[in-house]
Amino acid sequence: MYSEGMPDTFVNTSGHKLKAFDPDYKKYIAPAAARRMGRIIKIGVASAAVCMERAQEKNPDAIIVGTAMGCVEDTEEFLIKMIDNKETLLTPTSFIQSTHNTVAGQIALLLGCNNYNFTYVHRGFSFESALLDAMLLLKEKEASSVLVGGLDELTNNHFEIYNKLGYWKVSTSCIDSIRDKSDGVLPGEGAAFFILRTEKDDHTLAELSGLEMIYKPDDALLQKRVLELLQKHALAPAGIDALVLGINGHGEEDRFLLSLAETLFPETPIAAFKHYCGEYPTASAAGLYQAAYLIKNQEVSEAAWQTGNRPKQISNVLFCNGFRKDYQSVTLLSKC
Amino acid sequence: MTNRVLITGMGMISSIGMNVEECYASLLSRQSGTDKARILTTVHRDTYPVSEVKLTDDELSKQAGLSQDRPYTRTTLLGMIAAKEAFEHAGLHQLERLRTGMVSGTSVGGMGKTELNYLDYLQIENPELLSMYIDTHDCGDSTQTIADTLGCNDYVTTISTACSSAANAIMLGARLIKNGLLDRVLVGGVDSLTRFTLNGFNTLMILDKEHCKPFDGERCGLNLGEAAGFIVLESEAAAREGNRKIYGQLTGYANTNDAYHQTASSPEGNGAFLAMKKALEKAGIQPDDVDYINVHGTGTPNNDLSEGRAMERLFAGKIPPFSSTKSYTGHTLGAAGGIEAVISLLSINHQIIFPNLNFTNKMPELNCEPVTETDTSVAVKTVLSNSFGFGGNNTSLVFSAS
Repeated sequence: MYSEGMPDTFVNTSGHKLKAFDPDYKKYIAPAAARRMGRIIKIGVASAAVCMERAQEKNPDAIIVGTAMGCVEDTEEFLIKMIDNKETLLTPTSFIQSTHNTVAGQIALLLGCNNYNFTYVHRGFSFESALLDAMLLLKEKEASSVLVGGLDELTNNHFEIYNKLGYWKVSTSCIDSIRDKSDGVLPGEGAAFFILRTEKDDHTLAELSGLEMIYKPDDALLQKRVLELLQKHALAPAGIDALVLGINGHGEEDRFLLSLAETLFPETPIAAFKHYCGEYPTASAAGLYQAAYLIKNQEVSEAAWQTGNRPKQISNVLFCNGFRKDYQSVTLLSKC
Repeated sequence: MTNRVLITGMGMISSIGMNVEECYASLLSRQSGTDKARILTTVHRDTYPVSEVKLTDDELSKQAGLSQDRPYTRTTLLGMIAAKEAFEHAGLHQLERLRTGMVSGTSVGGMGKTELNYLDYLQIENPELLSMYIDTHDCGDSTQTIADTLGCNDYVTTISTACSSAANAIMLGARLIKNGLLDRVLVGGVDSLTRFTLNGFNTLMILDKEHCKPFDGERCGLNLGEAAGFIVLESEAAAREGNRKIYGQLTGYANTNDAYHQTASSPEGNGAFLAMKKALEKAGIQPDDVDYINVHGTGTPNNDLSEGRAMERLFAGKIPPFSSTKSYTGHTLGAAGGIEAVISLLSINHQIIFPNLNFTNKMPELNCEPVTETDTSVAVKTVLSNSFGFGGNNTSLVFSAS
């Protein structure tokens, strides 16, 4: 969940985990309902509520969520109890909440929204799949306003399990750690929601012009697809005023994005975001937020910038994200 | 060239057969796959019958043509078998320049392995075991593994919306073709039986201790099953280029949300009504035009009443012949929409309506009854297939003869 802007102090750490803020849930969810919700469900529902409030949306034509791991806390809770109790004396709540489409389902329930409702669960493309679906709905004129979100949670068990495999970077400075190209990524979690509409209005942050998902690319393929995306919108690399890159500090994974930047965009200012939210399969939702914010406000916090130069006028931003090498995505955002 | 979405291949593995032909034979001979669990180890083995695929993981590996050198979840194994059948049926290895993708639905993912190993993951320092399986837990694993093996990688994604997952995957596949993003797409879903789901459904008290009785006045719950069902969708241009046999077309689809309760359906079946209505509108047909409904019909008191009421409302009392084939296959959750798509197409291609097994008493609240005998007297050109899931997720698909 993100408050206005991306301030330097916007980091909430618990040990060396980048823990998502827990907002005042009472503002968004009735206590009786909140009591039964697992943490990621509350975070998702609250994020969506804030988003809809800002867009003044009461009943979107579609609700689409991307989450690679789903409701982990509830899954773990039911699983562990099931194992400990040898399949007896179990209660339904955590089982019910463990289904991946719980967040999308809860949002619909709270809004009384009978419209299109999908949940995508495909690893580093979970959020991108949701975004693509939303864009298709708008194109098909099946919807004129779509709520799209990406979220994943980091439970203690999840953290410990991946810790044993050496996934995490232990860091005292998140801002420095994403530059150091050593092994490991910052452990993170979060939720980000957007309203996508066909018409511009007072709340509009940016225009989402294009989205490409590139699976298991090499440098050449990634760069080719980026150029094709730009060409489709009559742009050359020089027309991109800033890059938002999903670098996470893990050298082996970051090299795709850094090579892309070096080769096609050597002079373009680069902003990062994973020092705020850490790495998780749907961190691209947080990145998209930063990219959209950048266009609307023509700036982000100093700490985000990775290169010495700063953009003067920002009309086009290319947002490039990678998750575990295999899942690379590129999104073009424009001022409108 | 029209914008039709054509079906050129099918694949299915379930408790009633290892492939489409075997499943069809079971449907004809009223052979249900529901029985005491033989593969799944559970304390509930003697209490709740399940609809298992009667092969161990090793046997499934051999059937799928996969080596034993890397870990595959049961979900991946089942999915691989059905996906391969559909892939080969549609000749997808040919015409490689056509953009070919995959969309799969699943609710369980790799939970089968996770529930066996979870405490080990947490307690014992065993990075080797951990790294072997940890990345097979998520829902996207089976889809990606299958797509990688078969080579349909132009766009791959996974949907998880509980019991409507596979139907939603089919719906998305059709839209990807209509929007010109893919020429061909393998769509459907897969779920394997796990203690997690069996115990989960048990806490909801909606499991039947006997064979389920969909749409029966004395019904008391569902039987959980496992399966994988995939069909191949192609654009008309791609199907022509490949000179493919056409098994039907997907003419209508709709997804709505009941927005009533996390696990129960609204008593009037509002979401179900809207899903069916919108799907028919998408297909440009009237309720009268539907020849057969393959209902969601899980056998739970809640679903069947809700769905029945929705049908009575939509069809204004003139409900077409309908049956729940979950009386054969059990409720296969994320795979249901996929195997029932195959069954709907079998219905169209063989001009046959399959019976709803275990039906004796009409539901007092409804005026309709399901078909109880195999019927070959009806011309079946248009089939409506329903899949309604937790989270109020309701999807209806319309299949038509080509």
